[in-house]
Amino acid sequence: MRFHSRLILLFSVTILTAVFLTASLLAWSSRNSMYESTRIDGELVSLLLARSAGFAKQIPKEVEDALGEQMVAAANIAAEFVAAGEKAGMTTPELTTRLKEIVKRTTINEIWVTDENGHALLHTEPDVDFTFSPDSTLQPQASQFWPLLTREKTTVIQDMRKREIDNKSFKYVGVTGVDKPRIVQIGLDASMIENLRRSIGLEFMVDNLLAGGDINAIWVISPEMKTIAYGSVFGSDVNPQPTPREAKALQEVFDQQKTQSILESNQITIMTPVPSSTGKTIGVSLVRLPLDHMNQTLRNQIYIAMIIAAGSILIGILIAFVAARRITDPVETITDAAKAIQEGSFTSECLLKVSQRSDEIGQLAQVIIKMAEDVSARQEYLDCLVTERTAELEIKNKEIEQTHQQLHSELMVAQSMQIAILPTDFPVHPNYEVFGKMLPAKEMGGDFYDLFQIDDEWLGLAIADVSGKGMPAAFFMAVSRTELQSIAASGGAPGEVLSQTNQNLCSENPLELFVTVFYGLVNIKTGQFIYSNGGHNPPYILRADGSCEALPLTGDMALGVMPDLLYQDNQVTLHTGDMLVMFTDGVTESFNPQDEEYGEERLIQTLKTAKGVSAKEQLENIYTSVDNFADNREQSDDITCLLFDFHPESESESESKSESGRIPTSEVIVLTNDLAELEKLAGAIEKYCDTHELPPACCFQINLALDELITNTISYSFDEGVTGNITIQLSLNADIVTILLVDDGNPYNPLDTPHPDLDAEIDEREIGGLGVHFVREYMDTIDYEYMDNKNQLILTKQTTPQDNQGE
Amino acid sequence: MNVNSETVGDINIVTPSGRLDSMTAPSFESELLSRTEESTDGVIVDFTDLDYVSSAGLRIMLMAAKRMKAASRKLIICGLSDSIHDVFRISGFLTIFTIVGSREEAIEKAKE
Repeated sequence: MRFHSRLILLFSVTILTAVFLTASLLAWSSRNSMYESTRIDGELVSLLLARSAGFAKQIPKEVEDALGEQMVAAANIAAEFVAAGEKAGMTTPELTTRLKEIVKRTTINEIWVTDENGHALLHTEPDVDFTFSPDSTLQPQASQFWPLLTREKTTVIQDMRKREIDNKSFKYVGVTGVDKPRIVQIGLDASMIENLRRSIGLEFMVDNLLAGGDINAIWVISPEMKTIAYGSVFGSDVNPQPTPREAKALQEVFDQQKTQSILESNQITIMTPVPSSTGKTIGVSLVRLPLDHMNQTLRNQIYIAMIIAAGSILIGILIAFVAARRITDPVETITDAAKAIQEGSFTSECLLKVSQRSDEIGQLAQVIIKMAEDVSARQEYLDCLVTERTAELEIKNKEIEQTHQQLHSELMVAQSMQIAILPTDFPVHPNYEVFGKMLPAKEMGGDFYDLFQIDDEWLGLAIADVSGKGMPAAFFMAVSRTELQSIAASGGAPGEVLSQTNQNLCSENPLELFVTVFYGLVNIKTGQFIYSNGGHNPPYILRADGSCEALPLTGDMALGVMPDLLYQDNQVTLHTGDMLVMFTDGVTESFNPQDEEYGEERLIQTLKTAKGVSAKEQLENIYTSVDNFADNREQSDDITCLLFDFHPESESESESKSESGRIPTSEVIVLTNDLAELEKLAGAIEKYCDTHELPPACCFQINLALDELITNTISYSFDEGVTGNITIQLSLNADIVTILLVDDGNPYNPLDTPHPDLDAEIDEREIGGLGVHFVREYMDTIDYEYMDNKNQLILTKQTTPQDNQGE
Repeated sequence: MNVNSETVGDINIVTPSGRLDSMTAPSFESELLSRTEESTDGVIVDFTDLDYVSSAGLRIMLMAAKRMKAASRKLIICGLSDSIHDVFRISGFLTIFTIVGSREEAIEKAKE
């Protein structure tokens, strides 16, 4: 939600809450005040009723009393008239007529005159024969006048009452007779008093109040809980009588003399004590007032309040919009300005107006303008710097390019030199043909091949591949080749040559490079091929019959990895027409554009297809095949091959043994530091000597020398309980046996042992010291060295008997 | 190796066969030294059947020789092969041991 929207929402919610609270409060207080006014109305009604009740009781009574006095007067007159008339001899009918005349002309309605027995002798009512009786049960009303006959009373004034005969309200007054006991009774229609009572009484007031329409129903209840007066607007069906709840409240009003009110949903009932004029409670008025009117008024007020609230909210939201705009506009301007700074399109004009404000936003705008100026200045400075540096960089780049070109041309020269140092003048010999080629990759690599003509009989063949690429590999290749060359020149067995080359390479290999070397000696007369393989991929022999086989590995590691390794020899025999194919993995690991590898299968197939051709042709055949396969894909590694084709002039020679009878092979014997191994040593040496046809004395002496040295090594060089290895390599070159003795025990130089005194007499002869003496005597040279935590002894011995070895 | 011992008259004849090196020396040592102790006349060590001897063997011979000399008895060695003879030679043992060709010569020599 944006800041602007959030502000509007905040304003609106605040206004809405305020308006809602105010409206609710107003409605509540309005309702309360209306309820209060209604209650006061009810009390007023009650008071009014009380007053009305007072009047209604008093006035008619007084009127009736006055009327009674008048009637007594009239009755006395009538009694005098009747006594006088009878004395004057008027007949009953004449008297009756006279009385009727009086009734007709006055307000008196009835006149009754009895004889001494109570029989109504004279009266104004037509066709009535009535006799008074003293029996009050028979004549409840008329019996009251009996005492007049007995002269117990002279006057009887009866309250106005309803007559038993016609239920009319009448007031009767009687006096006793003047001449004789009789009842002279005057009757008056008292409906006017009834009317008066009605017109000023409770009923009338109730009716009047109800007529106003503001009151549902009114009761006036006596303390005996009897209804004194009642009236309702809708009839007794709606509000038949006080509800139990009202009745209970009524009782409380009587008890506590306090106004009570009951509020219901559509009406309010107010109960107020009604005091008489004397202050005594004559009853309780119960007034039910309708709340319709009040509710209606309340509703109307709520409607008005809602309309006003809606208006206020609308106006509030409008104000919120405007206010939010006023607050957010400068903030948005500042935000835009910040974006502009980021994009680099800022001008101080866009913040000018905002910055003139005196509030925090104005201050912020000023800070931003200042900051933008700083940023801009820094940007300019940086741009300047970048331009400067770019120029410098261009110069440097040119220099680098020149250096690179120079380096490249030098590398090209180095590469050509690298190729140039490989032999290209291949010997021409009737018994064999040899050809090699190295096709360098773009980057300088470390492949090489070599040939060494040891003597008339033996030819050394080597192929190697240095790990890595570039200058280090090229240098290491040169070093490896030189080492191999110088060591192989002595004509030593291939295993021995590799052992020594490895030893030398390990001591001058700061970059920890290594080289895989395959080196073999081939007897060009007999076809005997003795080889040792230092981690190189095995060469193939393509036999004259077209079969192709890989030379078994000798299981040795690449050179330069670890010192003091002894490399094994293996041998095979070549027959007429056999061809040795030595190559580097650049051949088999050539790739075509489809990322397929040339592989050994393809190579073998290529070789077989062209079987019988010369070494040179076969060489070209391989390169053509690889080149076709690669299909112009850039060569990633040097591709190197060395092929030797054996075809001796005389077939028989190839089956015979070497002319000199010596085969330059080496033997490796591995022992543990246990004296029981001495027997194994003796057996191995005997076998070696037999194989190489060494004289028995020589065999004995070699055995003795090694026995003594190894016995010493086991005794002095190893700590107790430690198992170690002792490795012996025997190699024969011409008539010299070279023995390399290596153990991984503690440093121990047997040459430190003093010479024994050979001329001492038996008593003085020291026991011991003879072992090393034998070694010194029987070996021609002894060299001890301790390196790479190994003791290393190199011994040599001429195998042909020497002059000083005689009797 | 094996060590065979026999007596001809009062002469003890010890005949080791096979290889006498530092591995096999202890058994030869105990046999020879016990013979030198029990002999009254002399001891002949016949090397005819011995193929090989190292300094460990020579050390035992020297020890035996020292004891015999101290006891003024004879220790005669016979039947040395060329190689072993050469070992004795370069050890300077030819002068301090009595060495004869055959066992018969040795017995003769012992009886002298």
